[in-house]
Amino acid sequence: MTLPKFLIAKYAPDLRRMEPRNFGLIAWSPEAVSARFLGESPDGGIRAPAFVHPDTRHAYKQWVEYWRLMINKKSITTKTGDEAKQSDPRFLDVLRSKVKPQFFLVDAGSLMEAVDPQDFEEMTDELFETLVQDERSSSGQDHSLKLRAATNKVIKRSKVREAGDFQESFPILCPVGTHHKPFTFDYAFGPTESPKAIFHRVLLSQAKSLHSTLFMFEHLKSSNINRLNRITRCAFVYSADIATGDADTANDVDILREYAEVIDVSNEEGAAETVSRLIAV
Amino acid sequence: MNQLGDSPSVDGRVLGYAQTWHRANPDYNNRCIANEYISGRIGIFLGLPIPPFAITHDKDENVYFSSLDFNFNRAILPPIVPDRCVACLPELCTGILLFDILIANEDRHEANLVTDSVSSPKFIHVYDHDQALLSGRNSEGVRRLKTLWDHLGITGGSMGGNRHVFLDLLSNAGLFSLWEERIDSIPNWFIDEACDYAESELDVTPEESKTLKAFLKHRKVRISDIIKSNRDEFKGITNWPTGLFQ
Repeated sequence: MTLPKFLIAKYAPDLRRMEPRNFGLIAWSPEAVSARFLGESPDGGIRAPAFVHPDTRHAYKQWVEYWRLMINKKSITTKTGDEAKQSDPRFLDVLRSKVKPQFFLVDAGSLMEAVDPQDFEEMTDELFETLVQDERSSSGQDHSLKLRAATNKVIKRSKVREAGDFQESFPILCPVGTHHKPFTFDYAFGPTESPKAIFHRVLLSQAKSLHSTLFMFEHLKSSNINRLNRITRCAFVYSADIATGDADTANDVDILREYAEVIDVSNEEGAAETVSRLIAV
Repeated sequence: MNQLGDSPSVDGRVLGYAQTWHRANPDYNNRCIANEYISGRIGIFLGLPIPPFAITHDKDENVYFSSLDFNFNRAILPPIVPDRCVACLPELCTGILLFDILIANEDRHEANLVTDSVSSPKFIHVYDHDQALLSGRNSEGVRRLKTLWDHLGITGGSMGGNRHVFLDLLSNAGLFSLWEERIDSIPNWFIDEACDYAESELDVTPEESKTLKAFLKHRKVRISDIIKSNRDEFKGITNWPTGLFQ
């Protein structure tokens, strides 16, 4: 009996330091092959995680696409033409032989017992969550802390706190369908009942953060408080999150601009000036 | 791309530097530079997307085949997916195959081609021709050319190497004629000039140069005959056009 085996996909940002990060998992059994990679969305899109250097985000997408194409093949061949069928235990070895130094696959062992084919996807989810996703959570937290720290510096430099009427974690009741929901924005400036400006931090590298902000801004437009007093909406972003040439992220920023003034806190001086100007208004 | 990040001056000029791969003759292949140079010149003549190159020298006068690194941000891309290349770019894949037949390149695999997108490629970069023509050691170069004279030279057969990555996948022999015309139109003077340069500057012996010229001139006009006599090797082609290949 051949037990399920699996490979971990790793990315080494710097080949000299060789400190690879896990970003995917490929599970194999004679009956099925399955894979999960960070940044894949249900519609087939791929967004490289924040720990992938902006210059290599295109390559990241290409590797994920490549391995997806490979594992869906009935057979794959080595450079010298040796063929391994998908059900052949050598399939993963051949797949592993096609890697390059920065994006590679390592043998992560095999399970101790056979898995029913109908449970294979669930098993892949579990392995992925245990071996890959936990690491991502900590990286996302790192990124969030970086954005928060940079934003705090901008706020301090703009002296917005000293101007008074500055609040953190500011809730605004917004209509959602037939209900009203309090959305908590990171900062607000102005009287509690009629703030002049609200600010929210957006992690561009994380679709969830971006989408929830867009959702909140969209519904803020139709809130009572906004109708009484047009609120200036501002989004704090950290430009190091934006991959050069990453069309998806660039497009997301364009969408964000339709809803809010986008303030890049990686430029502390410029961002502080923008905040000062906005609260002066 | 200007890697200094400067903007062009009013007359539209700006000084910049691009990364280059420099290749010397390794111990195991003392005809590497010559093979790259002659193959590269022919490939560019045929209109194949081979990165621009030049022969360069270091301060100790060592010779290099210096090829522009088309991958500006140095990201390491995956191998190609051959069937996707053939599906999206059948003409170009046919051109690469016939070019490799001309130069008897038995080292065309999925890792010495690069695409912009593995699933839907719009272009392919073609590089790595050090194993073509004279291949490795000088003593074997002439023997190799004579052995492969009327062979496809891309099957990984009698002289070793790999089976060509597109050989079993191309299915439209109707696309061959475009590239056969281009190959047939390579001027003899062009072949002579490239081989003479290799002889005078790249350590190719007079015997190798003479054999190279004869090999390339023979194959450029006989390429359809060479294909015709090896039709069984093209496993993806079931309908051969009448006339040329009958």
